[in-house]
Amino acid sequence: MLSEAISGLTQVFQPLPLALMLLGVAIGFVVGILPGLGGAVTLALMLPFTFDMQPVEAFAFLLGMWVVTSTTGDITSVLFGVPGEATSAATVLDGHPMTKRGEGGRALGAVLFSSALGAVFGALVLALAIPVIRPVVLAFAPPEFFALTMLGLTFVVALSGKHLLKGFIMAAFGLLVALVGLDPQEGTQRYTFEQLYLWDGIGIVPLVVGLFGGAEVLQLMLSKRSIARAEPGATPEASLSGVGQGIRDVLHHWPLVIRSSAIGTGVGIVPGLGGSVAQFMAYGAAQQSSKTPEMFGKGAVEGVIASGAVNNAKDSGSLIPTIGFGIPGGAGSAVLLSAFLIVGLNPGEEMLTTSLDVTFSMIWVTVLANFIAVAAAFFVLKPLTKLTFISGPLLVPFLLLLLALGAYTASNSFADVLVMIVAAIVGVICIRYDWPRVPFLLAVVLGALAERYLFLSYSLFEWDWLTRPIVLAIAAVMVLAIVGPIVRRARARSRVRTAEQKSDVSA
Amino acid sequence: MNTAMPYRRSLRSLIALGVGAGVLSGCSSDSEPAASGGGDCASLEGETITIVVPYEPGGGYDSYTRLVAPYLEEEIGATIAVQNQPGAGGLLALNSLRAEDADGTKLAIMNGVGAGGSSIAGAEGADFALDDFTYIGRVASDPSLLVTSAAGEYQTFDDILAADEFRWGSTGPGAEDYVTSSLISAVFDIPGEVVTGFPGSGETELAVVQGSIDGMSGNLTSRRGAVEDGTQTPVLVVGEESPDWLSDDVPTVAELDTTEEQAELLDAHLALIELGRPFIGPPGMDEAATSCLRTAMAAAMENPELVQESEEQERELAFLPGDELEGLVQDLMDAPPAYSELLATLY
Repeated sequence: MLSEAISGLTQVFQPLPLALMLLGVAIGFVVGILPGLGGAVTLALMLPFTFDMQPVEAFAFLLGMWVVTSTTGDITSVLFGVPGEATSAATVLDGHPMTKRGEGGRALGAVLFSSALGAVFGALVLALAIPVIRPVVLAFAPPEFFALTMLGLTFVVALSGKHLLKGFIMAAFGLLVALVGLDPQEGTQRYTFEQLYLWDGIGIVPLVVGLFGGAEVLQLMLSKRSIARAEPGATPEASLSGVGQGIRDVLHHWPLVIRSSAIGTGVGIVPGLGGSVAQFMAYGAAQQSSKTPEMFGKGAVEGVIASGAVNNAKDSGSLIPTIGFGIPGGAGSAVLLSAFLIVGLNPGEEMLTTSLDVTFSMIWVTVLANFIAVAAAFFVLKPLTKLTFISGPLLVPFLLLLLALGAYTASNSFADVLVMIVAAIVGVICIRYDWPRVPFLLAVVLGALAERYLFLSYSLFEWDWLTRPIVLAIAAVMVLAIVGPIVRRARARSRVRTAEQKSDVSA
Repeated sequence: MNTAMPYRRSLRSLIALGVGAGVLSGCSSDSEPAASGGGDCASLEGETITIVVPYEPGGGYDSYTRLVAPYLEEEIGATIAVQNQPGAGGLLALNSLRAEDADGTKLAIMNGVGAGGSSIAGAEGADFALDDFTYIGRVASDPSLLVTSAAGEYQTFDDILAADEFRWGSTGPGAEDYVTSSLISAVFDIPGEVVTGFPGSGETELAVVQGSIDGMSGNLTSRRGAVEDGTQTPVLVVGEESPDWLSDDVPTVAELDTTEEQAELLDAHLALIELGRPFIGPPGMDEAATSCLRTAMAAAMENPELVQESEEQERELAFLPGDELEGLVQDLMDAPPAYSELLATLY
């Protein structure tokens, strides 16, 4: 296996694959920064150019582009509060408040560096998974997927902040929105109001762009100031000097990076869950384990680190079923599957034996492309950070254009722009009255999946699926995830109480 | 994979990429209109023709359209823009195509079984009749292949016929996998059920390999990898012809012993499958534009470069001219009522 790993690396380091990878990175860089236009769509548009390429060249180009989009998507999230990708929404929650505080540089340093580390982790898991890839994929069936969606939903508790009730209400609201569309079993219409657009449900991309990006831009419009508050000492230079601090933050919180990357890789393997869920699971887990959970949402660097690492680790995860069985783990890897056929490779056994070197070249590309993109990003941070010091009214028209394009390009439908605007209004109301948006979004994404996999599990196994070992294991993790914080909170409270009693006594 | 790389060839693709990136970023590259067939293309020369793909980018319909578009562009001397407009299982784009200008600048690729079947079944959401549209030509035929788990107890179609309870997997009503497997079950009276709700054919395949369902129906070419990988067993071709890569032991529907009644239903369904993936235009399209597009497509589909490219990508082309497609549509409109009644239960 080692010789294939080295062979894969040397093949990537040929002039042409390297040049193609750089080109891919450049395209992915721009696509990532622009909201809406996602990695999967861009991959599809670039497919025809790979017709003449050799396998390693094609994957250097396509993978180089794809893995970079989620890295640079975080830049837009941090600076403008507009998620550059649907998978970069969690970065907005803490990255943007940091920018407002004039700590944009630190946030960017943290998110980019942890992205790079996340990519390395994901690649490592992918490489280590190669000998067991097929049994691993075969162990996951609809019951396991359902258990994972439920595990995701338990994070609603962590992500609700102080107001558990508000969080549950928002989650319930999200589950209602998830009902819109054709039901997954029978194709029965639910809340479609005779609109064909609603058959497919409410789109996730316009929802994310509106709920997070639109809301920030509306606020910026109303405040008439620049994004970074004009506090004394908050200058582009001062903000940038934080980049190094951000990198040190990542190194300081290394267990968080590993845990978030593990969540990303794990969720990435599951078809259908994907990055829009993984980011919030990692974010929720970070909040749960933090010593200062109350800082989350107000500019906690841990939140930024978690959302950076998870994004890039998930890409490698979603490659696992694609390489092992030709079954894509998400929209992006579905397009990559076409690329396999174009270059004449059969995903499956062949990728793990005769074409193992190609598989390794793919792993190398995910790591190299991310490092190149992160290095390049550090060079453009300065001009980008300066943008946040431009006054709001000047910046807003440009951001509005980005938002509208972002919503529209997802499926070339004006109805998506409407959804984005409505989501933006809901987002502003949520911010104004302190209702958490994340439980809502999480429930929209997971609700639809949970329903699908629950009924599918029952159709396939009746109730026997409840006793499958992985399902039981995930259920145990769920119990820990719910009980853990309650116990910790109770213990903290009793500690405060004893401390108070002691101070009463001494007084 | 350790052979010397053909640099010149790859370099060309690199250059093509650069040019392509330029086009994407908005620099319009004025291509010289090539000599076009007949004189009918005057109204389309230099125009932009949009071909709508009613699905997300990256899938089969998208790939086929993007594969053929450049060659069609060359023949007509127009610019072709491929636009993805997913929604309502492809019906959204076809419904809106009905109201478009019929001057030849707006076309779409249709899913014969999915969209065409919905229309015959009178399903909700399909606001068009099959004979509404103007047919330009078929890009590919869309035969299905029934497969079973290689580790399971059903290894031939006869095994399935003898089954006490056979479980199919599918995404849901109206989808090709649901329609074909239900129809075969109904025609041959196979006991069992169709488990619905899989998010895509990938997950259905996974369930077949895992053995939690017995089999599925799916696009013939897309099954090739799994069949050659040995994880899925091919049992029946639901189409007119069996491809070279498939063993001769795998029968086509026509080779099965059937009663007259069964044959009638199967023939009607084969006509629907034969409709395949055609390029279509709005109703009553301008005559000059129609003849231009038909001639241009016929020429483009014979272009050896296109043929070679499609072979390399394992995307088989199966051109059928527009007037023959019209004949097929007429056959479908005249199909026995039993067929549309059966379809009505499946969409």
